[in-house]
Amino acid sequence: MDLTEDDISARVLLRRVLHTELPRSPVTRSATNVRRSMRLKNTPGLESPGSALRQRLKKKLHESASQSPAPSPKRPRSTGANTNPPVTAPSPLYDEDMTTRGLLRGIIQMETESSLLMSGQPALQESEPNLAESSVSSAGERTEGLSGVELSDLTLHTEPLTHVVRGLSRRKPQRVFSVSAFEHQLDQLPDNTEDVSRVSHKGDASQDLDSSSGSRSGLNLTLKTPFVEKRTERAGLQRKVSNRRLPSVDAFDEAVQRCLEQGPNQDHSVFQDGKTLEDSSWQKFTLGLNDVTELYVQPKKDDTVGPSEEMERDALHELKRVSEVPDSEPLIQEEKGYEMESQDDGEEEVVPSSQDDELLSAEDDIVLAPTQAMTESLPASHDVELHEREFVEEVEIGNVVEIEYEAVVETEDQKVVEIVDDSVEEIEDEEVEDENAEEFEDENAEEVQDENVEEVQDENVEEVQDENIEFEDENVEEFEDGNVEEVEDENIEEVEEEIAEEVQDEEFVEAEHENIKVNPDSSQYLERITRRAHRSEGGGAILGIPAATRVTKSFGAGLNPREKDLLDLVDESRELLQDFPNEEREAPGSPEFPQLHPAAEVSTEEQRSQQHEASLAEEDVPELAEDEEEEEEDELMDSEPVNQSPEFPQEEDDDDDDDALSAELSIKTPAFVRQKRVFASPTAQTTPTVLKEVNAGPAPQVAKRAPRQKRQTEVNVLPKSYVMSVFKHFAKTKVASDVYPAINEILKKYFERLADDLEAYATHAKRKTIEVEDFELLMRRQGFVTDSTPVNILIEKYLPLEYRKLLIPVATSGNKVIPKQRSVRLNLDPNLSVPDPAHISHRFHCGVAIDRVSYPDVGSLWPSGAPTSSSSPSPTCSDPSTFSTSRSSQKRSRHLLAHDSPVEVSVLLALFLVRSCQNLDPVDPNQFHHHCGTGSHCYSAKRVSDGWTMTFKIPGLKNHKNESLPEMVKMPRSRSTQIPSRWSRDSAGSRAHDDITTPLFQCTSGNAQVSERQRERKRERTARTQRECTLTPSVVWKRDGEMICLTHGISRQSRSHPLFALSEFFRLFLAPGELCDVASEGQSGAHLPSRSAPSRDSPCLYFTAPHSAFWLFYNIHMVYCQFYNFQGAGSSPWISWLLWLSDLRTERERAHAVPPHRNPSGEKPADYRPVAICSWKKAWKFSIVPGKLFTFSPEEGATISNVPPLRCNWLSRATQVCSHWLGLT
Amino acid sequence: MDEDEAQKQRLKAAVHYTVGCLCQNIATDCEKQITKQTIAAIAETAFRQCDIFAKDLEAFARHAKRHTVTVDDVKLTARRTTALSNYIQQKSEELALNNQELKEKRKKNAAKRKSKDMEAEEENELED
Repeated sequence: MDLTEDDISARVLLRRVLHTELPRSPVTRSATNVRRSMRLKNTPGLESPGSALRQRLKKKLHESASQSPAPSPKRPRSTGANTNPPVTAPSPLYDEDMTTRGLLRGIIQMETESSLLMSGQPALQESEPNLAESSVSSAGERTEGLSGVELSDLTLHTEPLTHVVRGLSRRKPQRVFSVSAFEHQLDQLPDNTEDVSRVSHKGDASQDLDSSSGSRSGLNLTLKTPFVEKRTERAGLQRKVSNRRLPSVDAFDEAVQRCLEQGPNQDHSVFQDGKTLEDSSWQKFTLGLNDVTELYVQPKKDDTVGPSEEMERDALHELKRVSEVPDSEPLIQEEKGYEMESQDDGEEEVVPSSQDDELLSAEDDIVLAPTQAMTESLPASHDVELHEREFVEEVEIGNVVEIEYEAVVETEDQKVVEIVDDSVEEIEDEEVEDENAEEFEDENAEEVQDENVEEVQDENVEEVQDENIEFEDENVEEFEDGNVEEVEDENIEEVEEEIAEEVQDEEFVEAEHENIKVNPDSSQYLERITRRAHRSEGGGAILGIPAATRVTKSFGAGLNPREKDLLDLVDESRELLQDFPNEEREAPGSPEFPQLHPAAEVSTEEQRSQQHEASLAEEDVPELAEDEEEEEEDELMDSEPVNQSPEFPQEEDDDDDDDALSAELSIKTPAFVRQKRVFASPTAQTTPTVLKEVNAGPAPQVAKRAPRQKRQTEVNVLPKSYVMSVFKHFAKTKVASDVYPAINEILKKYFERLADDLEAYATHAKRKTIEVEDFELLMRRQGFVTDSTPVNILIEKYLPLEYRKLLIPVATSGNKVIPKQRSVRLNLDPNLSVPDPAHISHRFHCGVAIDRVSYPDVGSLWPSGAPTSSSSPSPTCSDPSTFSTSRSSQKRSRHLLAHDSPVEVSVLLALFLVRSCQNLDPVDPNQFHHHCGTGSHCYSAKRVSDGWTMTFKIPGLKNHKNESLPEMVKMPRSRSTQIPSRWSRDSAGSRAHDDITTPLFQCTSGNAQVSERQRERKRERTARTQRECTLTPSVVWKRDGEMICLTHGISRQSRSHPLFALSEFFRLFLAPGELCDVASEGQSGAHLPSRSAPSRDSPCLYFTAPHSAFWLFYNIHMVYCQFYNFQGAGSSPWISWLLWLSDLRTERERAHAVPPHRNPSGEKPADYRPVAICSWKKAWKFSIVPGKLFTFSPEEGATISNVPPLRCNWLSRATQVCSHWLGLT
Repeated sequence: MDEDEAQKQRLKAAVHYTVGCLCQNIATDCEKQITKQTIAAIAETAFRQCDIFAKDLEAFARHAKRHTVTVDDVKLTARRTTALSNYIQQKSEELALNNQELKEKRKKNAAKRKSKDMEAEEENELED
């Protein structure tokens, strides 16, 4: 037993069960579930102990059933079913409880059953199976057993049963017995399984059989349910009866009176009946345990009483089906009375009588209501036989319900369903009876619902209380096992609690639905729906029934709204609820199941109702009650972990609220639901809450704000201490304390003027909000910001690094800019066309991004988002034919262009910068022109509203093809370094190499603009014809005071990588010697990598600007890009220098330009530091610490790994990579 | 740079000359003499102030996302000095009025022309 407990965790078991049991569930929740679980468990092994026990129990039951009498085939089935139900009941309990306790309980039940069977067997055939069942049920599932006991046989067994029950209640002895019983049952398992299968497959047949087999309906049904559908059917019928009782308070009262009249015995019997009806309900079982003695005694009474009461309730479904119907009716009445008594007893005697009594009472109450409903509805379905036989044919709701239940065979679920149905039927009946008019029905329904709700709540509360009491008072283990197997698992407990709450809510909802659907037809539908819902809920297990799936879905959906609001607990509860059906299937007898089922039913009903009716109170309710629910949940959360007890009181409160139906909104949902129902105006409820919230929230805030403003307007602009400390800090002399007033005045004026100026600037810019630009302008006017010291410099100078990170955007790998920055547009000369997109795309897929903020002078080339078609320059393809040669189609080429052109531009820009720096001698513009393969071209960056606009201008060249290029633009072939073989693997690549000499910018129209002002004007420089394109950075230029870093990663796979292309370009374009010369020229102290020409494995490229060097090293795995800024700290002279150079200037300007490297003012870096080391698979985020080695840490989310491997054409790959890298895709 | 410098010097010279003329007039009016150093200082100050104004105006214009310096920029520059701002305001209003009048006149003229043309056309048509 313990082993089973250990093996089985409630959730795990539930999940397993759910998975395994799905197909069979539809027929009978409890029985099928149990059976399935049994089978499954038997096979698996982990859960096997419990399952084995269950199977054994079942077998024993079967044996007992078979042994007891030689019933007709139907009867044997019923017996088997009967045997099964107890087994199932315990088994589900066990499953749910997941613990050895549950197994023990089951065993005990089995044993008791066996014992009972022995005693009961001698009884009539019908009675015998019933007796066996009853004995079993009484032992284990008291409800079923009670039902069985209710028969004449029960009376005989009552005494032993009582004894047994008592022993069972303590379970330990029972467990011992159970083992043997289990073993016996195991032997009998096959029969059980067969029975189950029969039942599951042939719900109707089983029902018929059940009907035929037993007028014993209630008992038989209960008994049958575990193994066979019959039981469930019967149980369902009984439960229905019980349900009937629920709806009508009057009926309860009447029943109570009757019970009082009849006497306690009848009540006891009623209780037993209720238990039998409620086989699934754990509480009932627990109650049954306590009451067993009473129950056993009661059955006799019931029998006696039954006939007397039959007069009134001949119409009961049970009666119809079984000759015992009269008994069932009286039982029901008795149950009602019993409920009354039990409630009273429970309330009064709660502790002494034991929680079980209370639980029983609660359950009984629930059951009674349905039973009453049944009784009421019964008249509609008088012919029991007909009903039994004509399950489908019977239009009557009650009959239909019964039939459905029978077919379903689900014990617990059925019971629940029955209850619900009963309630529905009751409502319907009441409605029909009371008022044919639908309107009246609604009112009645509401009333009934209210009553029912109250009752249900009370019951639930009582149950909960009982459970709590039981837990507290009784042996925890026993009670848990008996009452709630799941109690052991906190989750389960929580779920139960939640379920109970939900059940209440659901019940309410059901009531609401019923009310809504007042129409008899609608009620029928409701019933059906409820049935389906029950099936689905209880069994989500009921696979055979499509409705089950629907129900499950709807159930989940229905639960969701509320549950959404609910905390995790709710989720758990959902899961548990979902799981529960399985568990319920497994253990119909579990007391919890009944609760769960009603909840499930309710939910299903709600869902359906929601489906049917768009506007249901439920929907509104969850929203309205969300807060409350949450609170409740929170409370539950709090309470649950501690103990169930705290929650229960809450529930009680809720119940009280419900009862009161007072306008006061109880925190718990049920109250809301009730209120909504009652008032029929959810808004009223909502409004108060909302109003409360609103009032609570904003009001205080407003109040707070006002004082703040007042404070601000007060004398001191800044705290005196702060002002004085600052003043003293900057004052080199001592400061007298009495200076403060003057300072304060000055500060006041200063800030006033500040604000005034800012306001004026803002208005001047036709804005109503002061923005950064205004402040920048102010700072500029105040002299803080000048052309030489832009804002970012100030930021870097005066603000700590943390703020700098926030203020100065820096591009990181993955084409991400942190912090997010406005998009920068790259304005290209519309006439600008790339000579050969093919080789450009393949060679120069490189994006160069310059942190615009950090390089204000440059006018950062900053990528805005993905370049849109409009923004894409889409330079004309000079030679599509050639382009197509390397590419699959011209379309492709266009695509490339469209996507890559911005990148190309950026690459070209970068290249141009480097190239110009290397080769340009500012003193000799001609040389620049000559050496720059691109000819004389310039770009200008202009700051636009949302970024920078870069204008590329290539003067002297018009839109022409290569042939039109000036000779000097063409690079001498000798200059191109030896092309690595791998580079030329592509035909396009080879061709591209040949075309290397072609100018990067084939054409430009427009004159080079000469800006008078150097840096600022650069930004403003506008090309007469511009085209905007977005430039996305694949290469990040970052300046950190001292360093300019080009960060990019290239792997061997990334031949298409921009950097690779860049380096390649450099290699091809620049002679190594040239570079080295420049490098050597630039900085003597610079420690540059060796000049050695890059080898194939470790190609190295060194690009040096006059005072900086760019070093590219790439090998198979990595590409190292290093940028050295020999100039040292300060504004990025290198970049600015490059830009300055690159920018077309007048000869005069250029003549006056002094290359930075010739200004030895710059500091020389002690050592070159790698700026970026990137592997292809990961984009590395680099962090630069001035004066230290740049460290790289993998950047989250910036992974290139998702780029498909390079298998395709180099160009296509390049485009892919670039696009991906640039975020274009 | 040389050209710029030369230009700058020429401008300075012009300013200096103008300032000198003004000072001379004032001196004659006040019957007092103003030293050359004073005139030079005033000229330099004015020149630099112009530079500052120019930059401010440019900044303001750019701030307003314009490329042309307008009256608004000037007003903003002179915002602090109430007398000057008032004067500028007055002048600007006058200018605006003049412009409006001119525009109105133009419109009227245009309308007249149009009407005349129309009449002429009509006459022509009628004649035809």
